[in-house]
Amino acid sequence: MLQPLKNNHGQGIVETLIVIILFLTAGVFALVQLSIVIYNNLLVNEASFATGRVAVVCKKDEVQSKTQQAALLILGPQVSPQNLIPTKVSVWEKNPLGKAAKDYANQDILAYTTRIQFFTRLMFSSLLNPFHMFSFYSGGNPYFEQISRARMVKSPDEKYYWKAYPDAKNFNE
Amino acid sequence: MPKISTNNYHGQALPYFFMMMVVLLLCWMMIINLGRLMYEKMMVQNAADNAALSIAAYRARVLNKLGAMNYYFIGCPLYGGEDGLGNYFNLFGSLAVIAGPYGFCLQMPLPPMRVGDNKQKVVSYLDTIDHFCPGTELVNQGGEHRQAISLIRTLVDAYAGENRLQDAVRKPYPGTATLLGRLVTKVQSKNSSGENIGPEFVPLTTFSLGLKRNRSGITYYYVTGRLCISAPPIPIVLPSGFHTHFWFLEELDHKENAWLYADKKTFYKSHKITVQAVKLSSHDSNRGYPFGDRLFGGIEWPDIMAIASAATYNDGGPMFPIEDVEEKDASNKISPVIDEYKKAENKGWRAHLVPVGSGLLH
Repeated sequence: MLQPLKNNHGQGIVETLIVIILFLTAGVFALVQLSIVIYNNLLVNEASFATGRVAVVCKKDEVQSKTQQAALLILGPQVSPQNLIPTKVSVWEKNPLGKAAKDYANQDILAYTTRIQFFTRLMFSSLLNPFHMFSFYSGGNPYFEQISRARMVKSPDEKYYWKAYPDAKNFNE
Repeated sequence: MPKISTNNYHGQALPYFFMMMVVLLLCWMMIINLGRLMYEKMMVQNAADNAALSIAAYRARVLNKLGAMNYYFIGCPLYGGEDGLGNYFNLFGSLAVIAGPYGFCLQMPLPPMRVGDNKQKVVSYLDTIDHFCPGTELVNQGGEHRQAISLIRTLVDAYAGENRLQDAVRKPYPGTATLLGRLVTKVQSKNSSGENIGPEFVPLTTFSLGLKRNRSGITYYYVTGRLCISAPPIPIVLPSGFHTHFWFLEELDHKENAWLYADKKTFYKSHKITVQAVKLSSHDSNRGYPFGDRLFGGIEWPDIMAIASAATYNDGGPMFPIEDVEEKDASNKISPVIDEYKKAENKGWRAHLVPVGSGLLH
């Protein structure tokens, strides 16, 4: 039969250890994790804004390749398997008003939507993102998926991105 | 010696709370700083885009206005909008002549006279309208024709002369474009007091229209006499009789300035406008940033810059005759002024954003 303890000295130390280990550590890392998620989100937002801007001033047949390159250029230094993992950069043409429209000069009004899909690698995924493969006990999904989008209206006449009128020389010649 | 009691546990969570708060504050500050940085970057880029596009749109309107003035008031004063100064077939200096079948000059007095294409002989439209003249006729013109050509000269001078209407639109362009760029970037952002705190405007290209004033001169003549010869001396159309006109001219006035033309060396380049918007770290609105800089080791807020290009374009053509000569050596042919304007007027100059450079420089 267990005898009651005759003194409770050291109880505070034990409680302190429990609090530090469980709450402080988890709390601090949760805050750090949240900051990383927000940081990545801001960064990819900036990247999608910049790729959108590339899309609206390049030729139609170069839109796909140039937006991919632009996203790579901007996100490249930040990409890390331990933190930020971009998975897909998509760009597609949209009618900004929901239907085909033309401006006063009879040019099509088009917009480009850029979409960057990326993962942020999570610490403590079993706590922060516990559902993985439909199982709560699988250790969680360490990859937290986020998506960032931007949309800009295309510059109207791509024939004149480099010159001013039909027989003109290029601006930079 | 006082005994330290271990039986009082009040306040034991306080240190943990403070430690948590420190971490929370650090994360909070980092996110505030980063969010502010991203916001500033997008705002500065928008400011640069808007400034470039506003200047290009302004430039397009100036070109459209100047092109129309060239056409209506220099190229085609009082000539029905189709022909311009010098619609007079000049063969022998102060003697002008046309010849053709009966009825041709009566029905279409102007087109055959366009062949001359010499703006230095400017005469009144009234003089080119022939009245039917059987046989031979010598007419002394009265003072009304001098008044008519004086009116043309006054109109041309009002639009093309120094400090007149065309130059009132053309000359302020560089300064107005710069002011416009500054205004557009400044109003991009406001503080809580409603003051404009947008970035600074830095033009990276010179603002020029690439246009020059043709200074080869226009000489105005009036008709002192007209001679018509018809053979046979009765009007017959079929078979066509021969019919000719001679006009005797006398100089009324000479003006140095004529229409605007596009300078071949600079016109094609001047359409692209590249500007930079800069928000320096020392800007008033950055006071207090980075938030908590001492905690981060005294880091400095960066200067934020963005660059943008816009251009004017016209699918119809340049709208102005293009020449590669000095102003005094410019061509005196009127037809390019008319033709270039008519090709380009329906499209008009417009503005859009363009890539800053090649590759990914957007």
